[in-house]
Amino acid sequence: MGNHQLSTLLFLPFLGIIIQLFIKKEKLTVVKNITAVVVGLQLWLTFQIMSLFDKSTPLLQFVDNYSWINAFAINFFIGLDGINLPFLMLTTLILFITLLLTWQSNSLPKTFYVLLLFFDIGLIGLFCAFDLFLFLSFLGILLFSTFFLLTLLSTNTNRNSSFIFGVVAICSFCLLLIGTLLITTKSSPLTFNLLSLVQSLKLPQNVQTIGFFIFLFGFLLMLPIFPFHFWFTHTVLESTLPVNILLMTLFTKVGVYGILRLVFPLFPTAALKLGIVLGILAIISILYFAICSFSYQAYKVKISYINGYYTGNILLSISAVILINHNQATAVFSSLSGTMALIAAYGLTIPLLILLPQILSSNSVGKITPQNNTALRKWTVSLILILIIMAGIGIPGFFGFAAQYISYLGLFQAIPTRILAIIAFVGQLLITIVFFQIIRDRILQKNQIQYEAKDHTIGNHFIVIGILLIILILMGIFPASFLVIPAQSIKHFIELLGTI
Amino acid sequence: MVNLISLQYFIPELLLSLIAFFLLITDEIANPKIRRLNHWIICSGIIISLMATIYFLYDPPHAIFSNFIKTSPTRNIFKFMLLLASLLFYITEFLRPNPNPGSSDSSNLFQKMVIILGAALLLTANNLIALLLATGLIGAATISLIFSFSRLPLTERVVQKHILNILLNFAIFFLALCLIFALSGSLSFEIIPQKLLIFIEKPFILSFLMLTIIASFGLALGIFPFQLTQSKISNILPGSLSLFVLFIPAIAYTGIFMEMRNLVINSPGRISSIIVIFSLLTCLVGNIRLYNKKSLKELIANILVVHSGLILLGIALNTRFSLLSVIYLTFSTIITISGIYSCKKLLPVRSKLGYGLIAIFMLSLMGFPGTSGFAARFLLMKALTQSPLHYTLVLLALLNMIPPVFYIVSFMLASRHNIIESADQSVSVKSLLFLAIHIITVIILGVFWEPFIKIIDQALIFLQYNL
Repeated sequence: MGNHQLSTLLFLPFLGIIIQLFIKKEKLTVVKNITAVVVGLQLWLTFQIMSLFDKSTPLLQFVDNYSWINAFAINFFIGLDGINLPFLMLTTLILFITLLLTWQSNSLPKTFYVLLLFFDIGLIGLFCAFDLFLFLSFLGILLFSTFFLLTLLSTNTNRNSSFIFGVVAICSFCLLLIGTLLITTKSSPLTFNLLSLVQSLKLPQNVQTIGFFIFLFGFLLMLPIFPFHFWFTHTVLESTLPVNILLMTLFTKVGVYGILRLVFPLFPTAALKLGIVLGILAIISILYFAICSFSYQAYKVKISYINGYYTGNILLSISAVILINHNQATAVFSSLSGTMALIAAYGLTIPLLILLPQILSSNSVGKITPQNNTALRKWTVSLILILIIMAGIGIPGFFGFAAQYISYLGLFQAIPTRILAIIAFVGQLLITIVFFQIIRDRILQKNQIQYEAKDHTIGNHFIVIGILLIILILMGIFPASFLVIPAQSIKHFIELLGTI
Repeated sequence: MVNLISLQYFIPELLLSLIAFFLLITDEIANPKIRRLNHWIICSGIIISLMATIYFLYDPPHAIFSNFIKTSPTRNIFKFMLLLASLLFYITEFLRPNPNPGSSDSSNLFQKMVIILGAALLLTANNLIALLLATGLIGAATISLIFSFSRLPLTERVVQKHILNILLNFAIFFLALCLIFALSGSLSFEIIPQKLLIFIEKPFILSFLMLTIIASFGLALGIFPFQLTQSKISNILPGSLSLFVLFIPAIAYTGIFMEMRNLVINSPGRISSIIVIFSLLTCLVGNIRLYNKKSLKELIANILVVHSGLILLGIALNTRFSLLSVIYLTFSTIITISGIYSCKKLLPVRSKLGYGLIAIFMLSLMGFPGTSGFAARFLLMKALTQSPLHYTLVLLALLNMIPPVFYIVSFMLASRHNIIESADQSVSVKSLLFLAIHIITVIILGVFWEPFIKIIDQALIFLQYNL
């Protein structure tokens, strides 16, 4: 494969889709096998990339840069650095896990697997693209495939939530398109190359502010962040378990990535002045979602709000970028490292929380009767429950704790962010109570924890839970093994913003 | 001698005239072999015309008969698109399994050929009289077709209204040309722009002139408020006739409108604003009419109205990118409409394959990234950002592009339930190949823009546009 691992990673799903189109929908096993081969190869390639990745440099690696539309200086430009590599790792792992979970199910149609690969293309392309036009193209594919995943696999015949998602997706895309046209019109010479734009784009103050807000709102619409979250809970409620995992774990990371990759580097002056807006929105979201998850009894609703809380935490640590103004580069480095760690930690925790009812339900471990109620069975289930809850809260020993700690370490360095972090603790307390409520409900056999109204046969959940817990515990004990990946890129990011 | 050499540039027109004359004699003969022969002759003639157009695509402008008719790269591009569209529609009819000899699709070939000939002559018109004659030819053939094949009696109001509209359109066209002649004192497109320069200080007169031109093109291009009967007539006429009556002439009218826009190139900015307003209104009306449309035909008819508005917007701006987008969007629409038409005619009714292929074409129609529709829209967006009103226009244009997305997606979702699993899936290899060419073209146009932009750029070299 030479140096084209990234292009191979990106184009494997295309190949998979073309082959799947010729397979009849009755031959679901063949379709699943093709998807498994594609996703498996992608995971293997990701491991290869991780092993070859040079962590000592902030420069782009695995670059593929081909001239595409010369009239607009648009290139097919993809690459990896310390910021998008964790996103790529999370994507391939979660896609693999989703496939593993749905392996035994025969109720998911062929369409799901085709759309899954489209989703795969959109997401990986978006994370690896360093050309704005390419970024938008992959975003379009992602939004479209997500819309159809939500529509076709909705549990509600009215499909109102997918319609609302469609509206949100279009608004987001239009905002980003307008923003892209805005900045590329101002660039001289005309270019869509992200690196060139970051280096050479000199926008006047008012244009920076407008561009900052256009891009920011475009990405915030895709996040469960107050007040842009209106589409999220209903969409989660009306979609099935595999789609929930994709939506909550991966789709919501697109907005975060966009803010890190595009909003701050392209509009640095505005970002440093107005980044506090992000912090305020994050705090409101943390409190709002914590209170909501505390109030609602239905488990699926709780999880959707917990996801919103997690996203609020991520954005809070991103907002520490404003500390560059206070010459607190170390604090910013700590917070942004914490951001990357939180993204990974929460990305691995959410599937655990989604799968928790599967473990606890009688269908998964067999109906517990006085005859087969063994201590081992009880012990296993209880241990898994406790471990998942601990991962969810962020108990020391789990990656969530390490990530949160590093993030707050940075936030506490200056007064503005320190205040925000202290307020965020209130949310943390509420969420901890929510998790303890879950344990209490289990012990007292009260408020049966159910995830799906429609029963899709989900299998291999023990294996998946095992994999995720092991990763979370290992990374909780050895967080440096993860944190070293984005370190240089974050330093470069801070230097870039600091020189403005 | 010079004229004879210049005559080679008009091979398509000559050939089409010969074919029309031949069809005049043979079209009434209800012999299946003669019909087949007619189809072969038509397809061969159009292919030769296409090849000739491509061969002379970039040649400098040539005019004959004292500048009565003229070719130029820009006109050749539109002629190419016109002939391609005609060819694609004819091949579809050719490939149809067991066509009914008496059906509308395989008869009245003469009128259809006259429409194509009229459209081709329209694109070569370099004189007001030539323009009028070509328009008259198209109008007469259209009325004849409508008379022959309207499914409702002639007394039906919509049919009468449309025929009246055609006549009214011709009358307004005539008035517009008279006005141009009156103001400029010349019939030739070469001289008119210079003569109109004296009115540069009188923007009211130039604005009125442009309004009249818009009115005269209004029906053909579907511009609000002149397109009132268009979508209704497309419901009444069979699909193939709608294409010949409405779609094919629209390609030629777009090209000649682009030329006529340049007659008033030195006009003040407010004239562009007039066209911009009409274009946005056209898009808006098209979007409003999309509401609650359930059938594919109605959906496409109204989406094409929105497309007309976007094309008009591109012509109004008259910049390099906007004219690129006009041609790109026209070409993309041709391939897409031809693809959908072919799917409907060549594939079993409500088959899975048909649904899948139509879905891909609909994606292009709505501008999905990676398809030709997105490329065309992006070029238009880029052009809009360079105009004085930039972001207002970008926003308005974007807003007008959004409703078709919703309606197309709703239609695609609703159509899933109409698929008949047990439908006879046997399709001829030729039909599949024909459809595959459409799909590949849509994707290639959407992914590899560069060669097509270069082709169109070179063709626009002789056209004056705002830098």
